[in-house]
Amino acid sequence: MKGYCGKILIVNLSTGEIGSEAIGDDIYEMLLSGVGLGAYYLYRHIPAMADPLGPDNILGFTSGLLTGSGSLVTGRWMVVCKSPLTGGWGDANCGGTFSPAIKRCGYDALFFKGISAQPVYLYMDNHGASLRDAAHLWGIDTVESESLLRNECKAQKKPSVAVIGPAGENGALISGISNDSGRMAARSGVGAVMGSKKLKAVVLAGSRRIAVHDSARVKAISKAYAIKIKKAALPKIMKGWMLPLMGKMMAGSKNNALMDGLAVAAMNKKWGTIANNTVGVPNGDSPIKNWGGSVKDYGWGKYRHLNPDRILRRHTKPYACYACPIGCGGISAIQDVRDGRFKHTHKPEYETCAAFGGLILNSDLDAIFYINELLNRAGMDTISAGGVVAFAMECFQNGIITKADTAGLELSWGNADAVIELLRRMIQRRGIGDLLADGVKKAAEKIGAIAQPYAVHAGGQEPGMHDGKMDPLTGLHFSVEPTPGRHTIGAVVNYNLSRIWEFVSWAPKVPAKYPKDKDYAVNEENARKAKANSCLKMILDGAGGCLFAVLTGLNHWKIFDWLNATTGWDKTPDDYMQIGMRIQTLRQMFNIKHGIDPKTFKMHDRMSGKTPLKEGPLAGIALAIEPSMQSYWKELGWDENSGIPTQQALDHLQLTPLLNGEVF
Amino acid sequence: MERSVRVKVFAPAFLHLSALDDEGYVTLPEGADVQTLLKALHMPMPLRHIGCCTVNAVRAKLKDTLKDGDTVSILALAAGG
Repeated sequence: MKGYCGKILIVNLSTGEIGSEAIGDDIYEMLLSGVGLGAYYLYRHIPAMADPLGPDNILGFTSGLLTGSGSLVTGRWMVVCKSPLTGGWGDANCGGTFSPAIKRCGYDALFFKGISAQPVYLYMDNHGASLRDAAHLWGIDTVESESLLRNECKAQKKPSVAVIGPAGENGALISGISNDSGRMAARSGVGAVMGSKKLKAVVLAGSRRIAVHDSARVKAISKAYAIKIKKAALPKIMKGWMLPLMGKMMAGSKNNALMDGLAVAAMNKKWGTIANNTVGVPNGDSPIKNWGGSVKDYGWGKYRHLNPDRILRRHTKPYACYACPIGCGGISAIQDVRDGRFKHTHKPEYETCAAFGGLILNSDLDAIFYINELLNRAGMDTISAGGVVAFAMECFQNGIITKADTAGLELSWGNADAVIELLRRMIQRRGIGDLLADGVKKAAEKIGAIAQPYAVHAGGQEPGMHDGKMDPLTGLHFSVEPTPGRHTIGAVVNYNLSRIWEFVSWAPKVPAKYPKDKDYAVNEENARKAKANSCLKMILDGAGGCLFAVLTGLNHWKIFDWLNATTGWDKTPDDYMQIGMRIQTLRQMFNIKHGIDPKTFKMHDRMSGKTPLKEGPLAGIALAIEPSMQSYWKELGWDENSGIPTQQALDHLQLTPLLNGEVF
Repeated sequence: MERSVRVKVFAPAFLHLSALDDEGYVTLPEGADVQTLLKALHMPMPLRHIGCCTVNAVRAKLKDTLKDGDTVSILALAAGG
């Protein structure tokens, strides 16, 4: 075995038993590692209709197949479970250092079953694993907990820690899991599942080597990529104030065109995701006013405060994830912000800036820095939290939530002070915060039908901060993903930058320039592009790859070559896409097993423009979302009316034995 | 007959792309420099002068002369996904 360890750790929190299970080479060849290995284990071992917060749910931490191989931008770790937000397949992923730490302990994945009677954490190093008391850590935030655990678990090498904060402990369904002092695997409600198991943290301090088939070849590919990324740089005189100009021009363009992924890398090296802060508002990408507004409501006078250069002014230290030459991360000093409670925070991501910027009409950048750290420490998903706050504000504007409900909080648009107080109550589940801590879908169900028009979600999850009316494949993936509402699965821009058609025989070629209208058509070509996006994302999540690397182009970031050199396999890109298809189908079958009707994952009508916006760059646009979903399902070999994979597709993907409970 | 050079161009869609053929190439008079290309693409002035493009993956200056077969890449954003 090369590139993977060939075994998984299984911890029964109810009994305290810890064991391991060998995984055959054929499983890795069929599903890679990461999310594929997670889907393999969870499909077989979580009983149908299990309570996501009950003992039958399983929480898995998985590493990528390429993590630690010497390849680059392949250090992401995945969390998998049944999602309490959607009732179906749940996963989330994050960069940092936790993914290699799993493999350095000699495992590809760690799975937790049952529920502990008392708070515990798992400690593991080269000598083995043990459950330890975590009562003294319960109630302590993610950053403090990690620091305490590092001191407590002194090892030769600094341990890597995944930990929940008070949000997960209190069962907030929009909570995530932190590593590296506040970086979040935030989606799908994975933090609530960890909290329900009374599992406070996982601390890894192994130092085992990871075997690679052809190390010299892996290094050669890595070196070539690193040189290209090093050269990709923007001139210093490129400033943030120029970005809105680009956004406005994008909004006015009737065309789409192929861009160079290395130029995207240059943007990411300079600013990270916040480069989109002031582009996304004028071009329509950023949802405004709970998805019901536009740049007309949140004009330059407001969004200019989110200029990425203003954010970089607080930059004290850049950082990169494990084995990443792009390095889009950073630490910001915020000791002078608000009550001065926080000294530092991670540079806020675009998603956070948009969720607590235009989505709620807030232009107080200091408040966004503060909220970023507040939520990272609480272990709460900033995307979902922003969506919930926007929902509450619109309900407040319409008299559905009153001052009596909020105990005096004035939830007017853009009221940053009120937002911070509301978030504190959500983290602690106090008053109105208890209602909102489980996301907009659950809150709207409790309030009643009158709130439904403002409950913007897809299948129970608040969507990422990208309007599908601007990039129609984003909207489609929001609605057909087994974990709906995810912005990282696919988009027109992702597809075009990946240049996947140069490698995969069935992926449609994109011309150098074409009318933008073509992206909105419901046809086989666009469905096939979406299929390619899904398959490629599953390969990424199986290998530990980062989306930012795909955006540099597969002609530069040679994941297929790395996979073959690492494992010794001789697979073609088409073979790997078949693996991606298998993982995607297995995740969908998990949902079918657990009673999910895929049609119910369709994104909220406001997101698809059922009643089109009247102003702004997306005015008048309505997506034909139902036909697009059917077209996608048909392209994947799933039933086009129900979204259920057909028997023929399952047989073709060799999934039938697994689904029948046989080990293959 | 005037001699020309053909360069491959990766440019954001908001530029004036009529100069590009279907394969993404722009044909320019021999001796044309980067500035000539950016003008042909109607690159706005503030962006034109910041040197935000590369020729064959090396940062280019406006006065750099383009050769037949060069690849020119102009700034790109992954907004929308």
